[in-house]
Amino acid sequence: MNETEKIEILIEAAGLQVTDPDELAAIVAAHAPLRAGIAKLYEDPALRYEDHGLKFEADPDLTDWRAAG
Amino acid sequence: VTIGVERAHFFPPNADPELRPVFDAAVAALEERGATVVEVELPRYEEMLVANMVTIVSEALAYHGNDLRERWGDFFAATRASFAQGAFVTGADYVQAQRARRRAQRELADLYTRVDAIVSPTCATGAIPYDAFNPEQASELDELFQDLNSLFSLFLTPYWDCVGNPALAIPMGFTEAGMPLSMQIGGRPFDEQTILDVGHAFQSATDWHARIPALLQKVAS
Repeated sequence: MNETEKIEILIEAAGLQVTDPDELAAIVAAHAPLRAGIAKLYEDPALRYEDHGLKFEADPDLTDWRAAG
Repeated sequence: VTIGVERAHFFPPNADPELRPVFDAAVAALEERGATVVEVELPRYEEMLVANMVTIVSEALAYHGNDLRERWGDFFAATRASFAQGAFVTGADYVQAQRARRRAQRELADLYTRVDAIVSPTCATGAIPYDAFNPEQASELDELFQDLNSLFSLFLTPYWDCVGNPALAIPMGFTEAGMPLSMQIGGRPFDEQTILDVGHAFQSATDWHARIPALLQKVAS
């Protein structure tokens, strides 16, 4: 099964109706680099046990730019 | 105030030729205002572009899926093409993208122990002309939007979208065609004050933000 066939199946499974062959080709082409990038995310062992919940730690250094001249 | 300057990832080959000299002048203006400028490189930049796209297309399909199924033709071609990518991303991919985001957040926090703000261009090209949105002249725009990878490479905001730090975009000059270019200033989490102060200092030394687009000049007259 080639990439186009895979994506056609996934599009159908998602219930989307991409009837224009040029548009389908563009979608397939756009997915290839994204899939390659996703594969790289799995290659980094540092990410394996990383927390998947985003946290925003407040530690602002409130420099007063204007007072500093 | 120490300002990190990111050049490594923000000048793609298809960037406007005026982008680099305009950005260099903007950095020089910050130095003249008293900032200490150091070169920096944002950690995990490429991973964040991927993680950002995985997150966007997954969340977009979750939100717009019903409408995409029922009203595919009502979406702009580039919009539906990008949202459809959500159908090819797995739950595991989404979780791994969030892990990458968290890792980048922590490494970025380390970088912010050395700088107070980080500046870069906001977009690699000037604003798209208003005329390009006219139906009679839309073919070129549509062609640009069809090539999603080329298009997205011009937008330089996804890194900050992905790590979630505050970022401010302000005018920094113009392309040769007279379209505005922008500088973005990224700060620490919850430290909006510093980036607003940097933006204010820049705009106190420049008048790019006060220029009136030709379109509005026509309207005003």
